[in-house]
Amino acid sequence: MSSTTFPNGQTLTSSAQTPESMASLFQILVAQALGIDPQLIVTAMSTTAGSAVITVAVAAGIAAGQQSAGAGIPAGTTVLSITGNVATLSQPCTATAADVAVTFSNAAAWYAVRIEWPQEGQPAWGITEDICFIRATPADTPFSQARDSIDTPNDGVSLTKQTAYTQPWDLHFCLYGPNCADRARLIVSALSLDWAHDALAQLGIYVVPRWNRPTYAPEVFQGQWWPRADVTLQFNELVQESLIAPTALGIEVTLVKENILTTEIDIGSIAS
Amino acid sequence: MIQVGDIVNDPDFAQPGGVTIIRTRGSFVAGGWRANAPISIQSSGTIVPAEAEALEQVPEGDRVSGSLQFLTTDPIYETLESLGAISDKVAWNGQTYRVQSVTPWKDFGFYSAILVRMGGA
Repeated sequence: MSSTTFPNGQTLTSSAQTPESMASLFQILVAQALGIDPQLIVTAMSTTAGSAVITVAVAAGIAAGQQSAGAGIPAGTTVLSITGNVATLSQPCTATAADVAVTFSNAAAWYAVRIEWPQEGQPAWGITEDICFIRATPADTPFSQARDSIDTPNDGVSLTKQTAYTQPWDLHFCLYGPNCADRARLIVSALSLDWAHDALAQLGIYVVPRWNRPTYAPEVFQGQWWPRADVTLQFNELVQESLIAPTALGIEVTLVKENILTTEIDIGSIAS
Repeated sequence: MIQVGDIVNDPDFAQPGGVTIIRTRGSFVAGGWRANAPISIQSSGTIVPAEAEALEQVPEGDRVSGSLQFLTTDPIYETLESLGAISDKVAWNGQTYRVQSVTPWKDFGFYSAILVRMGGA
């Protein structure tokens, strides 16, 4: 959810996803589609610089071996143990903070399902590893041209203008590894099922039921053929934007008669 | 075997103030690759131009490219999965450069890296 305030003081709030946020959403979904439970838990924590012990707000689901990530936690840190709401990590925290977001998850999911186009690149993978790469790009279709708006009065001096439109997305899945073709098939099949529909619908995202088939085209790199499969699926995102705008408090109407004489009528306050 | 590394660090050639190698490790997390805070490694060696700094004028603005050759006795890496690290950077003369390639002449006591200018402006 983003908010932008304009020079006239009006603020536009939008639910629109970004390419990065869409890819992140599908990273979780694709891991599940491939049978890898991300075990993703998002909670709050308190950290102390130099200490590997943190206190979490909610401990349910946190287990030893899970990856932990958050401000002040070095990358690659895992949970060594958890007792009550106190977790011991594999590396000391680098900052002292309270009530900051932390995630615990299954690192295998993020290793196996990666997001393309990181700013400074990312390490590659081995020829025997099954890895899926995701990229999300916004598309333009006739469906994205239409916009529906509803004006709802607020407090007599302002109204909320709610606008909804469709943002189409292309989700491209690029898979490497010995099982890439079958894993591409699995992604398409899994994303056509109810559980995926329900998870996406909660976010206002709906699959376009054109079930493209994966292509399989190994590529040569450094003297070896690397198995590779690609498939692209389309999704429609329901974007909702709202703008709080002032209402008219009065209006002046001027009637011009045929004989050029005019009559001014002040209707006065017509605040909604 | 001649140790060319001795020449690389010879005061007649080497950078007087040394050179900083910036190493960035990280891991794959929810949301993609996440880099750790970079680690600065004090290094030494010789820097020579590999490619002139060049102006590229595009409608959006002027971009400057260029590259250097860095000869050092310290190991320097391109992106390396086994290290969990992306390509090293080198801070020199107020600019940051990224390792584009490494020629490992380590049997002769040195590494030769091609660095590309990162700033763009």
